Amino acid sequence: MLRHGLVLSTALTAALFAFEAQAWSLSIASAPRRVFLHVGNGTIDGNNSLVNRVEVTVPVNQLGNGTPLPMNSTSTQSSSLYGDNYLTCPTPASQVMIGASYRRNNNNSPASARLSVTSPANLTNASGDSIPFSEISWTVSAAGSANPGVIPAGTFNGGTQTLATIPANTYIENCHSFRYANSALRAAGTYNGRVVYTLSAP
Amino acid sequence: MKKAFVLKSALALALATPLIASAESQLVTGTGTAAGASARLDFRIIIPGFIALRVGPGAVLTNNSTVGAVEFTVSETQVTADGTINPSSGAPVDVALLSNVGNVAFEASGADLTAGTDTIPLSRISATVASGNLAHPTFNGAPLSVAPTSGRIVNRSGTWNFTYNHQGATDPVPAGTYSTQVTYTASLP
Repeated sequence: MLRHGLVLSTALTAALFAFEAQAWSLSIASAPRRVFLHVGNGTIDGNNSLVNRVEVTVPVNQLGNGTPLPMNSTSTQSSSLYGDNYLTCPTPASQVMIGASYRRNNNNSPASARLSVTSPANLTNASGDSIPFSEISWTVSAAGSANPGVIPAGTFNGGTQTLATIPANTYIENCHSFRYANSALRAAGTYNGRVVYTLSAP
Repeated sequence: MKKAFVLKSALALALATPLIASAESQLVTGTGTAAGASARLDFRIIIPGFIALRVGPGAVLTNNSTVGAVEFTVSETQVTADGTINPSSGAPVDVALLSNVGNVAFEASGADLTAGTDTIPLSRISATVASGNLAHPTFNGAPLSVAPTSGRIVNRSGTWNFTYNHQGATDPVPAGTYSTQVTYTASLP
């Protein structure tokens, strides 16, 4: 498979170069301008109404003790939607796969697309209590890749953050593992919040 | 060969489905790319409710079965007089109340001190707040409503001191070791 770089030609050498520079950042064919984005479970060319959820239940004896807690995901998306079915995120219960591509025909603009994420200021519960979204951060990985940061790690900031710039005719993907900072004692309740990832090519 | 395969798939997509609006995967073509494709991800944090109380030995978030003891020793010169007796040991008492469920009902209940069939009313024992911000509920009285310190978080602690009102002249009691156990309870109102 191209992703694993088992080539014996100049083309393979180029693929290897791309692999070392920005894995997984994969070349795709040009096409009339389009952007594709999936977060967690997705369908490469179809509708998918499933919104995955990332969650954590804080143990009573760890409430607000400052020890970050890993969060689990409802995603089951372990294989890439790039087209090669590569096992990019082998443990989706703790890894949310994000894949994005931008395609355009040669010499058309813009040269790249922008991937961003927008988070609200807080998660909230039914009693009106809140937890800042900045309490949630993520690390990144990509199985088999030496450079998994094609979409870098970060922390939500309660606003819009630019995550990555995607060159034309490129597909990028990696796995996001979230954790809750648990930095303060919070009122009892179930806190919910939703973030929106956007891939645009203005 | 792989590149050709991708081209074929893309062409088929453009003809059959010019715009697919989905939830957590989305493909947007043409001028719609300016606004872009979007995908949502939900987050949930579950915080359990709890009330933790410490009176005397132990730590507020750790179960501890050790019962503290406050003792008053009435001297020979005090025994026949009326007067306030300070503890000889066991005081001041460390206390803490921690919870995340809003107001907490806090009460103290106990029987009179007894030595065989002789009694000293529990009401002869008085409590004061020596330090901190946790009040002492009235013995066998109505629950004290403890207000949160922030939002719905109660985080109060301090120390209590106790005194014994000995009435050796007006209401003497037989010699003996009088004791009782007071139970402090913190609960949802």
